[in-house]
Amino acid sequence: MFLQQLINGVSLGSVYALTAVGYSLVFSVVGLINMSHAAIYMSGAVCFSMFYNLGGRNVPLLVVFLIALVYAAVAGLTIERLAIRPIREKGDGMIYAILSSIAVKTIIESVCQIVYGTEIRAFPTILAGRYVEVFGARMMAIQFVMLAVTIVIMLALGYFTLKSKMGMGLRSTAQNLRAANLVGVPVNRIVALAFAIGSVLATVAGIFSCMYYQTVQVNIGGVIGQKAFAATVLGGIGSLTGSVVGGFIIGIAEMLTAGYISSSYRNLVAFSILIIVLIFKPSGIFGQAESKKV
Amino acid sequence: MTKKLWALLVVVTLVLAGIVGCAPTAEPAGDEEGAGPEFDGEILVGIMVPVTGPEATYGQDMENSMRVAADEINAAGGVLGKELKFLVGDDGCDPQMCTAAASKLVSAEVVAVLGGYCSGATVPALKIYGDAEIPFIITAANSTELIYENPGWAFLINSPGYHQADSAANCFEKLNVSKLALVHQADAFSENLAELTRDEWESRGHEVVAYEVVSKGEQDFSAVVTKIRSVGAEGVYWTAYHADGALLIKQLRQGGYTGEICVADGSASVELLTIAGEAGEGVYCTSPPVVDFMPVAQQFISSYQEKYNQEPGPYAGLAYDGVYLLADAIERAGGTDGVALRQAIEETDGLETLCSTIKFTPDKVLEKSNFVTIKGEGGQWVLAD
Repeated sequence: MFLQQLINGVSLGSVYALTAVGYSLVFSVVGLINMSHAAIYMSGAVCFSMFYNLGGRNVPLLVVFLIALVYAAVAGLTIERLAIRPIREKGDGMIYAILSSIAVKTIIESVCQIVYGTEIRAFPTILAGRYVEVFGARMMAIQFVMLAVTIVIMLALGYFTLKSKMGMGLRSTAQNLRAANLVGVPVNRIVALAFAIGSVLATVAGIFSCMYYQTVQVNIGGVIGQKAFAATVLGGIGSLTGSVVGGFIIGIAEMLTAGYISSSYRNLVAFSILIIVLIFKPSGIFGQAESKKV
Repeated sequence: MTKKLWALLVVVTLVLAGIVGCAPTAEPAGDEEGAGPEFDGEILVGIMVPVTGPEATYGQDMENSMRVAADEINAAGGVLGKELKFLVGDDGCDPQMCTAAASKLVSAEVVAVLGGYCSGATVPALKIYGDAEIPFIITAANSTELIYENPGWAFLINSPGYHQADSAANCFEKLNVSKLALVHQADAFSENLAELTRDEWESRGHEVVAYEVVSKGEQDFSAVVTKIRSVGAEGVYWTAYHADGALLIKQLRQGGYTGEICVADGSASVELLTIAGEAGEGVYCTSPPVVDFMPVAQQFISSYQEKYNQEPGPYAGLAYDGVYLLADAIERAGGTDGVALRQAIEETDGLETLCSTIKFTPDKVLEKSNFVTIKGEGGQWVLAD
């Protein structure tokens, strides 16, 4: 049972990790906790389901998947352009930007509720009924795919930020937005890019988890948003590796708690771990303590 | 100044909207007079259901069913030669509105009251009817709270929760299950049912091997599924609602669980089967006596469809039965005197209705459970033997 719960935890953790990276990416670049992130997670999956149903349920899933990713990127860019940049450029402080992102979240959720309805619906899946035996434990093929996708995306993202020009711009902006601007880094484009990538990752996580559960509903963002954000903070907000590690820690902790203590304690334990880590290392596991000049 | 004008305009609009919005409910629908038998006076009966608010669909459905029953009774000459008439009090599924509705019915001097959908909006009426010595036949609400608070004038014709625990235990025993897993969702209703079922199951000498809870909004049940498999459960009883029930069923089957699954009345919706798809095949459900599953209810269903051009809802059968129970009691009491009528209802001995065989315990609840077991087959619920 331990191994099985561990597998459950890792696959849940990979959803948290993908979502958490989006929080971290945006935070590292503009210092904003993007509250609309979980709404993108949900609306990406809803978008996928809508286009799938519109196409009479026989459009290749890959096509619908690409449409959903385009939606996510456009949504990310739009949110940044309309709801975040004007506030950031006025220099009014991030608290207003956070409030603005909460408004965006509510708008996205309301639109989805109106357009898609609040009922739970079936979601298309891939590799149904297939699974791999790992030392007697059972790993669903889709869980395996989720984990693989998470790892590939993380490696690609790591490579991108280290090697490409845009990626370097991303890192320099993360270090110091004003200085980067001064030396000619196109800061606006970099910030927009961070929003787009974050949204795409959230949508990938949303679609894969809905494929795994084979259902979708407009309220799925709530719990995931909380957990992924906790994972981000746990790993060290702003650190991509930290977010991934945080996601896996929370996922595994939840599953082991549910398996060995009681499922009513799973959230309690997950969030207690968060508090304990923050007491001893307020910047999170991989976070760097920020020293402020006075 | 303009601001004040605007504010005034908003207030006036709201008030008007309120008046207009309430107006249609004041006129009970479908009370048209036809050329029928001659009556020697009338018997006025109160209906207390929510016809506005979030539960209005169910309340309206109950009222419709009662009117179908009254039409039949009146067409056959009425009760003691008198015409059966209704007055509706809207409880809005709200304790305050319920008090107002009950007072309205009492002051209109109704001889008895039928209805009660939301338990929370039925409890406050118990004392009001009791003080006025008006018998109250509760056709849907079934919280055990109603039993404790009953001053002696109310009768419940929907089985209370512990009857469902009993039905669930019967269902699993029939399926030769011995090790049972219970899963609830930490709300009052589903947790209470899980507890009742656990006690019932253990008192019958079986084992509860897992007692689990999943939080609302959580999508991932894999930890619970793994646990259920590893403790070797042969049956799983889900006591909460259909949306998450469908998720659990899917994940149980996906995770390799091959035992029996049964869900409670909150999951009795056909939506559960639609979402669960293949995994929903062969799932059992302890359901309240919905008329669709009652072989004797065909005549009622077609009269209902004819009169209202829609399908009867989940509590339609019980509402219909309530009218017949009352009519039977009035006949036996030989009049509508409150004390005599209450005694007549109390003495009802095995009245056969659409949904139940009516006989009351001293607590004024049904002696025999009227829950039925249904089964998912081909995406539809069908009666399981």
